[in-house]
Amino acid sequence: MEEILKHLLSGFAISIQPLSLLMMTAGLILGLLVGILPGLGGTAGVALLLPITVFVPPEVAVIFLASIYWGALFGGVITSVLFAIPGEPWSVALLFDGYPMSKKGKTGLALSLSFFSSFYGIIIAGILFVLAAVPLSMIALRFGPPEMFAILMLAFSTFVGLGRGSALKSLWSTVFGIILTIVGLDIVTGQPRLTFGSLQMLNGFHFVPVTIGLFGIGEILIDAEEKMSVGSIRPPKIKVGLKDIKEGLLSIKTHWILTTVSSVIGFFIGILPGTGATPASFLGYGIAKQYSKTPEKYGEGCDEGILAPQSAANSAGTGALLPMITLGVPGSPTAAVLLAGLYMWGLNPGPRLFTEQPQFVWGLMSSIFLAGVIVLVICLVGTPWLSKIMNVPWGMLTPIIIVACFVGSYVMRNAMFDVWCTLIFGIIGYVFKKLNYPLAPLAVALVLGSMTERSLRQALIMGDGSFGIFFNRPISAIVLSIAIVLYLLPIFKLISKKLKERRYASV
Amino acid sequence: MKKSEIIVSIILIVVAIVVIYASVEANFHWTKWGPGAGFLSFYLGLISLLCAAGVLFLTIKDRNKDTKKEEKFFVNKEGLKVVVSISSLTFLYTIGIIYLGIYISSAALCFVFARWLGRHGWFSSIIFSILVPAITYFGLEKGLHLSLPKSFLYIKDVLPI
Repeated sequence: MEEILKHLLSGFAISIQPLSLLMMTAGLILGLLVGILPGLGGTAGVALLLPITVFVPPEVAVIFLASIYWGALFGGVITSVLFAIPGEPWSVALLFDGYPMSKKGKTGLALSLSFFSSFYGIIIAGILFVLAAVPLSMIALRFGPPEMFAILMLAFSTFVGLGRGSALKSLWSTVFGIILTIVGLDIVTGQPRLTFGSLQMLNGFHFVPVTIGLFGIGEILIDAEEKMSVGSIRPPKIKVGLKDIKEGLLSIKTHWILTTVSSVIGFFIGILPGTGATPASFLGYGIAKQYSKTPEKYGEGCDEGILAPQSAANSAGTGALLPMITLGVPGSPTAAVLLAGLYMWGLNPGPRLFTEQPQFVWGLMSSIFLAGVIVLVICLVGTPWLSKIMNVPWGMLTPIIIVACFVGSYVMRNAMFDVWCTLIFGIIGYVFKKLNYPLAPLAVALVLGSMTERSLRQALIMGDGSFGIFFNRPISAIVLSIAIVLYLLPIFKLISKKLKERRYASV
Repeated sequence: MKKSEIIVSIILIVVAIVVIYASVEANFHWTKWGPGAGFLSFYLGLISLLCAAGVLFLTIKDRNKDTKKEEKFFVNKEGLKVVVSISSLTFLYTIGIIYLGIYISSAALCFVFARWLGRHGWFSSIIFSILVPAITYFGLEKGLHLSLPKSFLYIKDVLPI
């Protein structure tokens, strides 16, 4: 414990450096704007700004990108409460009670409750993060290629087994993401694969242009079609007053058990790659309502209906970074972009990061707490100004985002091929979103695909071509068995549904 | 929506077959260096083929259910128009980047968007279309020394962009 505190303090020494604080604040403001704008999500926001992080040291760069992420977690709150437009998917649960409270004329209180519960969620998740990181990385140090492959399979299986929607589509997205990483020159045999004679494809698909296309351009098309033109909205004059802050704090104090439990549940959901902040927020809301003595108050603007989903969502968002740092396996698409950043900066994510780059890991962990405080202050003070972004007309905002997307993808490798990738994957992202093909497994597989292939090959070479190697070692056997169960879970669910239907029919 | 689901599933089946074929060509057998270059992609191609075929089968199977409630792929005609307009503009923008560089094509994109899709006035559209590339140039090219695609005017030494 003492050791952890010592490391955490050394992390604070990095995150309170002027450059770190500056980048953190800039990242938080950018993240808030990204969260407020319906046309751009946190994943695309982080991917877009990835290229400019090469100008700062990696420990500052990761703080900057993580701050965009935390800002986006907070940003979705404002539009959900004010206009019933969730800027991010995890803010949807806030529509149930946040918006009704705002409609009753208590906008300031609704915002204050949302901000404080988000902050609470981040802080609880930060504490759990710090406590769990070292033990988890110690276990991970014992991992060889078979264990790593098993962990990766587990990460992918959560999308199929625990994700919402069609399991077949989730599996297809995951597989397609890995196939995209295989395109190009094989580093073991030096042979081109799936390049179809194209010289440009020899370098393979870069993660950033593909992600910007899927999440940036795809989202623009979806928003434009649904006519969520932000230009048509005129935000009311709102501010979070001292009275709202006092009431918000008092409510957190009264409901501290609920908020803490939601945060803890959110954190553990966030660690699982197939889940993330959105289901955590719904689960937080559902549990709070189920165990409430006054469930009838929910949906009409009650405090608990805001505190539970918000704290769970923000805690899950922070938890998603834990497997990224300790195992090199991201818990969400945005964490996957951060992981891509780590590779770009020449770092090797995973347990060795703790010994090789302690300043990086502990700087990031300390920034969770600092960013939480700064973003809370920015939100409480700056909401009136932040909500003004909704005034920017759609006809001007969209081309700015398109230019930013294309510039962001070009500068990664100075290649027009990447610009074409952004365009094509933008259209693919639009079609997939329309047909409910999940994009999160695709993004995560895009980052983890190379590692999956590498660990599979190494493990098979270790086992002389036999798949038995995965079941001869205890950790990989257990983890892979869980992964197999998760892959088969949709089939079990289908069988049990059919049996139930048959039983009802016979009755 | 079901028609589009069927079309996309068929496209995905074709993609999977292409992946399997290319993997066989790249060698998916065991070699002296371990699994061949096409080893993983071959099996992934097979899985994706099964998934796409499964989606196709389920869509066709459920085709006759809830036909009244069936959603359309595009929200409405207006939605289709907007999506086609933005996609075409973005396509032309990409072509423009190759031949005119990023600055001139960004200015054109911003102008068309603001004037045509956003229905802003001539003056504000022109100012907007100058501001965006100018900020990009001074922020990225001058400030961060990032090199962006230039136009023929740059090659002929007429303009710095």
